[in-house]
Amino acid sequence: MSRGVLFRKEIREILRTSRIYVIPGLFLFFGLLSPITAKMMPQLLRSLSAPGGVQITLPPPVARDAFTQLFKNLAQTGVIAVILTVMGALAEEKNRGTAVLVVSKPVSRTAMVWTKLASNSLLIIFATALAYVAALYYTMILFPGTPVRESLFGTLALLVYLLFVGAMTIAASAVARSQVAAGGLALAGYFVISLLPIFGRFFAKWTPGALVGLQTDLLTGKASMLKDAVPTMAVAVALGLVLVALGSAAFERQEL
Amino acid sequence: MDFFRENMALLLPIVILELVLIAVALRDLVPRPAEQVTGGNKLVWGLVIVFVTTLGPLAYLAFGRRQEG
Repeated sequence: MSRGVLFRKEIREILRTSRIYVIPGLFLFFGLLSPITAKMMPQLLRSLSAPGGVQITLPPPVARDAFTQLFKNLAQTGVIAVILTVMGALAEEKNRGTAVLVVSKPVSRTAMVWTKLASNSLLIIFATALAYVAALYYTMILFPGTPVRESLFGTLALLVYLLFVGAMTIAASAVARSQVAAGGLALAGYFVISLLPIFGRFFAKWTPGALVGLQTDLLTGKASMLKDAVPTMAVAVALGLVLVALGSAAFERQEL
Repeated sequence: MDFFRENMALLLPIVILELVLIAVALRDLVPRPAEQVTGGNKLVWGLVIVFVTTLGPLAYLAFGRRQEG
């Protein structure tokens, strides 16, 4: 079985199972909803506050707020969704016993792990692109002066962040014996990378968690794509690949 | 309702997405035997799919289904 066949098996599995709906569906939903939420926020708050009660006044929303909403939604709920749908990638096949069927063919376990990474990354890229295009379209309708370039840069930082989380979850799935254990491991990793930027300048610049702050900084123009974002993104990609390599090495030694 | 009519062009795609997800989830749930559904209760999942906006169908597709065997 060549790599091409293995990759097609993965893509077929994504299409046949829920994942083709869950991740792109959720991302598209946020893509459509975020600009509307940003636009309606003042009205929503007004309709919620009782007459004569506390008045909450917000500055009028601008195009940028739509993407701030989108990044916030996808960096939280999107990340959890990625972990929950990817965690079974290898752990579930081990559990069900289908992993034995695959590796009994002339397929190395390493190839199996990297194919899982490739197919799931493709799904994340597709979903993020879908969310961005939807958000961009709605923002252009709702607001004047859409920051196309800045929002694209911010979305790229978001994409790399999501891909890192996906890679981390694949690694967890390769190491863990069950789906739940893989999910727990990946969630623990997610908390660690979310907390790391608190511990000093170095971590705030170089760990994948820094990509969350970079999304909004790129959007507002506070950070530069080439000088600030690209190095951090490169480190995140490298770190993700190292995690998958480690997970794959552990998977090689496991008994199925 | 005025709010909806005024913003129809914007809200319609979301409504369509919602309906498509409900249709996909129900099409999977209805012919499925109860043993292949998490928790074993198809009615509860049906209600979740129809009444929990967007996240209901997605939750069913992600966690509601079990492999046979």
